Amino acid sequence: MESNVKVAIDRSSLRLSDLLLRLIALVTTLVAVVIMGTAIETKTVPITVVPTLPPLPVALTAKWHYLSAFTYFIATHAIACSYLAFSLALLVANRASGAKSLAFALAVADVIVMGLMFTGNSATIAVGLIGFKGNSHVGWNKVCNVYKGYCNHIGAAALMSLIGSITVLLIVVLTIASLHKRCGSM
Amino acid sequence: MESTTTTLSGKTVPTSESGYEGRVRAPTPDVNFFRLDVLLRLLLFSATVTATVVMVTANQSKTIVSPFLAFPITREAKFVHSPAFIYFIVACSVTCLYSVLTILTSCFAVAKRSPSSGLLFFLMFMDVFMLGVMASATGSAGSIAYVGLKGNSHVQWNKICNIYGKFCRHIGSSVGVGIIASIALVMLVILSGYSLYRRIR
Repeated sequence: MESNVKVAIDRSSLRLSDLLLRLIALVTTLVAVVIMGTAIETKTVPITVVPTLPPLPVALTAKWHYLSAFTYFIATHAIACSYLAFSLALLVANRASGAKSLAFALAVADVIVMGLMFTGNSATIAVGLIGFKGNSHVGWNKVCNVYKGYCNHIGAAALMSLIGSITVLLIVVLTIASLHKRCGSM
Repeated sequence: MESTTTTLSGKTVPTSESGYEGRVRAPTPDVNFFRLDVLLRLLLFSATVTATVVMVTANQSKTIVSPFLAFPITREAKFVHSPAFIYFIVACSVTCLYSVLTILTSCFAVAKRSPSSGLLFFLMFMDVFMLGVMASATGSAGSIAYVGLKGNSHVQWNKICNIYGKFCRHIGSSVGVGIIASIALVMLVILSGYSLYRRIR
């Protein structure tokens, strides 16, 4: 009887932490998408057309969808965000029954979403790093000295998505641990 | 359902448990999926080795002759020129070493009738971490390769694949094999998860 109660408490606390982590991942991913989506900056850059004339001020705009890596980021994180909301709703709806098939299905989907989030996140970081540092070997100049606010948005979005991805990784580990716990000591 | 299980395991030998035990013991031999596990790990090993070798050998030097230059210059394209590709190589090497170690572990587990769920849990745990590493490496190398292939007019990053064709083919194939390695890791996690799931009483 005592062990029964203990197991019940154990499982409810596990579920609560799972819900909490899913909520954190959902919020961070949503924030990452919003920050990336609002990364639009217009800068007036003086461009010298003819050396004898004074430089012409030209307004240049940097938008997130100019780089395919950022579009990929938005796509993967939108998918992850909607999946996390869906799984959260599913878990809340089925909180009474601890169906093992639901836990397994969520574990599979979590792993795939985790892979997607990590690819989107790292693609953004890699391209953002080139924007920040440039690459002299292939003549890709840095753009962050011009579009400072834009680059800050990209960096913040990458950071939020990194936190979100690591939270999803924690969710996966927790799900595996609960599966392991439920199959007992065999 | 769960409370019944704990109650059953808590009690010594109730009359109902013999039937329950008989039901659990019967599928136990099917729970050993380690033969498939070893195959997937072999796939992971070969994929990571291929990705590493192809990426390391992606060197190309090109002599550029231009009317604006007094003499032809030689430019070299190497993977070390981009941090993303270095990260990819490191991730692939680490995953390769990991796959060698876990192939040995899985080979020992194949012989057993029903390997412990602790081993499954540990392997799954490590596989998830390796998946994170491989997925991020593939994503970063792939995004840089895409910029190299298509260029970007908005930020004046010119494409380089029209100059360094062989280099780009190497990078592209390496990233493609990296995606296969990531998929193999996903399959491994799902397989371990499935055999844990089958063990739940």
